[in-house]
Amino acid sequence: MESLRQSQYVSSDLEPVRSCHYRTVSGLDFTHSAMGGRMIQVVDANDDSRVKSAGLIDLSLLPRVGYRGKGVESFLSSQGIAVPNKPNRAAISPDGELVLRLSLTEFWVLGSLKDLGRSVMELPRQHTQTPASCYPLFCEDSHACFVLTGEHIANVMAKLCAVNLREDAFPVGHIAQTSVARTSCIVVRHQVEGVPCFMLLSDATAGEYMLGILLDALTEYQGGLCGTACLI
Amino acid sequence: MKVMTCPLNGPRNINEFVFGGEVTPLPDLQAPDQAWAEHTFYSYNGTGVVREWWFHSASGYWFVAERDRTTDQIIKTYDPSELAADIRTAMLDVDRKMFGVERKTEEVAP
Amino acid sequence: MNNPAPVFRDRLPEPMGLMLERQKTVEFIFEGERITGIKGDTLGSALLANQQWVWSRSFKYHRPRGPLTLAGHDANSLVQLPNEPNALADRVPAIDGLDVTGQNVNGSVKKDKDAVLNHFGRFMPVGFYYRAFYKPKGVWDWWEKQIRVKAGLGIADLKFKPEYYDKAFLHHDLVVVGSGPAGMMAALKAADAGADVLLLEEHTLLGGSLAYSEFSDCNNPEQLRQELMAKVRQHANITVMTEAVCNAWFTDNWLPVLQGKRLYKVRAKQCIMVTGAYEQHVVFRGNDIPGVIFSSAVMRLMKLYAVKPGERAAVLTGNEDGYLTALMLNRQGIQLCAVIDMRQASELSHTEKNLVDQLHQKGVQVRFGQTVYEAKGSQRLEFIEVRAITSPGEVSASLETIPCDLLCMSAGYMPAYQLICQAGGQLSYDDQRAAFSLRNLPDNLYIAGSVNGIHRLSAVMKDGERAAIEALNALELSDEAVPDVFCDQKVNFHWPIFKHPKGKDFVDFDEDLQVKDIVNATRMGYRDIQLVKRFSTVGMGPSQGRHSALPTARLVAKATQRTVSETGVTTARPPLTPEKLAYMAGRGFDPYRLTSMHYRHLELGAKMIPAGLWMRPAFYPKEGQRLTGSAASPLLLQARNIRNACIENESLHVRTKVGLIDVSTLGGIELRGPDAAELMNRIYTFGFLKQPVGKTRYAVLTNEQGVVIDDGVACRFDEDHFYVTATTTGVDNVYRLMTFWNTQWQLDVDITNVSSAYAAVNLAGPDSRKVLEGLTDLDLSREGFPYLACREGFLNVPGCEHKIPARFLRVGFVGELGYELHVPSRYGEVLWDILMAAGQPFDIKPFGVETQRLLRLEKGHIIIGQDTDGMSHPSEVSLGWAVSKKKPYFNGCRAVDIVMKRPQTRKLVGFRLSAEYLVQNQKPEEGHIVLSDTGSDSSITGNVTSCEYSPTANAIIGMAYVGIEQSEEGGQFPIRVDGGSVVMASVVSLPFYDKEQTRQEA
Repeated sequence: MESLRQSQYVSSDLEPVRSCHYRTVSGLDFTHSAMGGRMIQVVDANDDSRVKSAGLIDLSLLPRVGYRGKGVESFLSSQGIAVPNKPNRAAISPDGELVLRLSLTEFWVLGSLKDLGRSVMELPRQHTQTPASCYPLFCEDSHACFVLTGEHIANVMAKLCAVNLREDAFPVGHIAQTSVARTSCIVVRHQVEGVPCFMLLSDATAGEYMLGILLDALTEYQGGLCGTACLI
Repeated sequence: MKVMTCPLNGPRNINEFVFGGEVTPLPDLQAPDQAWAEHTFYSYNGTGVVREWWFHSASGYWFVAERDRTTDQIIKTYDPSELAADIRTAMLDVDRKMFGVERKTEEVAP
Repeated sequence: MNNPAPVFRDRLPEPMGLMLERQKTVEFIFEGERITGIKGDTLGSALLANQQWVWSRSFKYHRPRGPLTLAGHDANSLVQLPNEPNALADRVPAIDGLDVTGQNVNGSVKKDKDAVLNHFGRFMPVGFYYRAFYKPKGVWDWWEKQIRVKAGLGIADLKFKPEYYDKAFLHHDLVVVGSGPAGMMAALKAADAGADVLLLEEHTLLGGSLAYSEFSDCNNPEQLRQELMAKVRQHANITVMTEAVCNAWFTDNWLPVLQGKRLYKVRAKQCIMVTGAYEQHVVFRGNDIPGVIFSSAVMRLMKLYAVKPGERAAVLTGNEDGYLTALMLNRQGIQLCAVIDMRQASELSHTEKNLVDQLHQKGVQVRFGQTVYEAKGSQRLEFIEVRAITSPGEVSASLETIPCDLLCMSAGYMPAYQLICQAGGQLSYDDQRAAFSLRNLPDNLYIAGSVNGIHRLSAVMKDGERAAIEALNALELSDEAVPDVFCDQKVNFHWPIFKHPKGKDFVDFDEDLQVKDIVNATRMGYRDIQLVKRFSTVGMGPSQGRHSALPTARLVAKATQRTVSETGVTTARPPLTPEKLAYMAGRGFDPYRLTSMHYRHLELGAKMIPAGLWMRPAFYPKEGQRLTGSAASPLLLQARNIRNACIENESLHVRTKVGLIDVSTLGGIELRGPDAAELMNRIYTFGFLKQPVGKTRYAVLTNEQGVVIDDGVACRFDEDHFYVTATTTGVDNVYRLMTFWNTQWQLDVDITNVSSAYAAVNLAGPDSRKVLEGLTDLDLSREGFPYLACREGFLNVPGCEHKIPARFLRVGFVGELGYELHVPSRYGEVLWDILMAAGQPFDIKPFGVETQRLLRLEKGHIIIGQDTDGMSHPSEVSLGWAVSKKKPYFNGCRAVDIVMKRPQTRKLVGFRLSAEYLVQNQKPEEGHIVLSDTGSDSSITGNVTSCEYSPTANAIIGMAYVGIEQSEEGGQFPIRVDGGSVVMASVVSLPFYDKEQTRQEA
């Protein structure tokens, strides 16, 4: 990651992808990175305790893809991906992908950390490669992706979002498309190894802003950034 | 802050939505300038229930709300596909009338 | 701490002193004097325990004032803390070392030099400020300063370091505002039925009146409070917030709750307001002297803080609470020198007669049908003068003068109506009960307890349950029948107002308003209660009419021969209590957006400017020229010179070599599907059905009124695939408009806003092709990739296997050979690096937005929003060519047709100034007006929209709206510039640069 930070050029073993906020993340103290610098694997020795209490993981560069159109549901089924039966619900595929249904006709598939999104990378990105009425979306580039983890996440989000995201009102598998800190955001509740999580997808170009807001909100609970290794 | 129930996303604070005006079909292309001017610049300012377009910003979703103009109570909200048949027919009519013909721009108003 | 300080001995024995931790003392400073209190004391209770009864001076007459409510409900208790003015002495806990001073004081609270104002009262009648200082003209400017010095409320510490305040959202099935007996019963009832309840209490202790008051139908209120509190605290469905003030009611039960350093925005499905009632004072001369106090305040003082309120006490009452207070005083060994009931003995209820008997047994006699007519004392109450009431408000000759140092008043109650009236509830006055009650409650809101006019404890508790049942039924958690709750206890004395010829019979303590002030306001014609308020300022002080609203309504009603209901009370707007600005100014959300190349601009030292939510590089000053702070202000000559030099250099560099600009902030919309072209055709003014694949076309958008509102470049990458750009700040609007219409048209097309998904640069200049060669496999030749063509391809990343998918657009915005490259945003920074590296041999330089604005001005291209305004239709900005005359429809087409048929009145033209103005540095600025002629009676015909010095043209050039008669090429028109002088501009044909358009088509 040091090389990525300093060099003008891209070294040959790294894929030349960077999020709009990668410098804010890479400015923090961490030791390892995963997927050619795409993600932070470990931040420090406190990762595990932090992730259970109030953690934040940046998955902006974990592959994902979305599709919209009348033909998407059957297309995804043909790819062996089961979809939630109603809008604003999420399901987890056997490979660990999170499948979001955002409307009757819009679906996003978020790559799994288990395979670092490799199976999602296989899915087509061009509308010329998909059946009729099945248009790939651009969520890999248009959105940043953060995961809030731990027992305090509902309190953290209560400072940023007017929708009731506490577990009794917003159980695992529910999606809220709403405003978080005055920025449009998709909030998904799920759970990894018993740890409650919110997946947050918001405008990529406001990624640095959102990162700052989330870290500020986590301070009250001594929370902060964690590495992806915590979720694998 | 007022709450409105979005047919797709459920009850949300009103500041998540953008107002899109009254549900009124466009006049047809042959209608006189007067009709277009009224459609563009005038809106009814009385009592009763009004049908309005609303847009949920975070999900990019347009829907219809029926609101009592006197009490400001939102009576119901629904997907545009559930718009009353007469309104939908009127829209499609205009759609057909408007896009099948060539427009004459040189006609002079009487 | 084993040897109790002397202060301890003065306190009443337990169980008095609920708040106190008697083993710990606290010490603070009040007005320079050391005050010792007990942990748990408020500043106020500690002051009273130390016999300090003067807390402040009144607003207008600087009269000494002391405790009134001891509940934080009056303005007498406002004191100054080191970094906080207007703190409530009866609410702020006593803390070691705190330095407290009085407010509104010239000198000290005990010796206020302005107390002399007390004797000039008759020269300061109601409406005094309004009437005295408005003539002669200008005199107010002098007076205002004098008055502000005398009438200030505390001092703000401007050196105070702000603390972290923030906001949070809460959601509950039921919010109960107030934790008195009704509130706790309501919360328990609802929680038992499964509702998720939030119980709010503004004080530290739960229990409301149970914590301090006495009840004729309950022997041990503290035991009851402990039982209820234990149940509430243990209930899994109840969340309790203490020291939490619900400060307003907004639509759909949206409740701002202040607690600590956080403003909670609470959304309640159902809400029960159990806000209680404010005790009311008796109006008589001297009713503000320290020592004259509410009965409830005396009870609080004893029960909560174990402070002995006086040596010789008198009670003035019109209800049973006065008797309960008297009994309590008696039990605590305080001598009762008089118990005065304003009613006749015959008016007493059975319960009250019992209480009178109890007093008799203790040797205390009760006087009936009498009142205190005047209280006397300088710094503390010394005497009361008692008279018999002959008729409402009228009294006999003096009966007796009684020495005493404490007078407890119980004249009745006013429901705490503010929040409920904000919710739409209405007050109506019941003459029989002489009390206001609340009617017309909105849906999802209920009231219970004393705010609902129910005062007997057993009924209050039932009423709480009744409200809970109503809320539960609305939540569909129960279908229980709603019980009737009945209570006939009358608490209000019908006319506790005794006007004195010498005044100082205060109606409103905050504003020093006496009976005559209110009556005089009505005599001057201010009959409406709202006008009385504005003229007299009644109810405008910090206590916001809690105690003045009821007597004012009664006085105005009587003076204007109307009923009290007709008179009503003034509107109680939010906030309920003063709200610290920190709650508003604390952590807010100001989203900003950064392009993926943002940090490259910073590394290059770019001067950044805001553009909507974005930050963009304006230009790139050289090392040594970078000004920061106020030195960078564009108003300063040095900063302006650097700016001008940068823009000149950068623009010449683009004209002669090659430059690179980040245009990632451009909006982008992706249209895919069989009807993509049809949608484009219906939205934008031009024809798009026949646009060839691989070509771009200029796209203009008008609104329904025919005004140009956006523009962009439409790229057709396939029969069924368009990519259209939009302005940085307009794209959300364009996207919304497209989806709005297609929701109705149902065309088979997918519309996606990809603004954030694409990063983009414009590589421009004669050498741009050379820079790009070798980076892509595309045929870049003039024939293979001509002007206005677009391509999808890849960009090679030198030194690695990866290729970046990219969209290439040959556009001519800056008027040179150039390529816009759009790539997925995660490749944005790498794209910048690759091009800057590949451009090194050709001396590539970055250029900023300000330079781009000059370059496009030289080419005569308009910027929507800068060169257009809210009226610009296509002909005015010479875009008639971009409006299809044939196609049946586009957004706003009928309006465009109509306005284009009319005679045109103005036009956007290019202009040029002669060389002399360059020498004189008389450059017009955007917004300067264009005149019809140079004569003194000339009219405004237009305005300058863009103007800059062009190094290429070596002249000041610009664009301006001018009258149609001024628009002919070669003509001249005047522009009024800064300082009022006029420069003459010549109309020239556009563009200014490369009229043959050979450079961009190279």
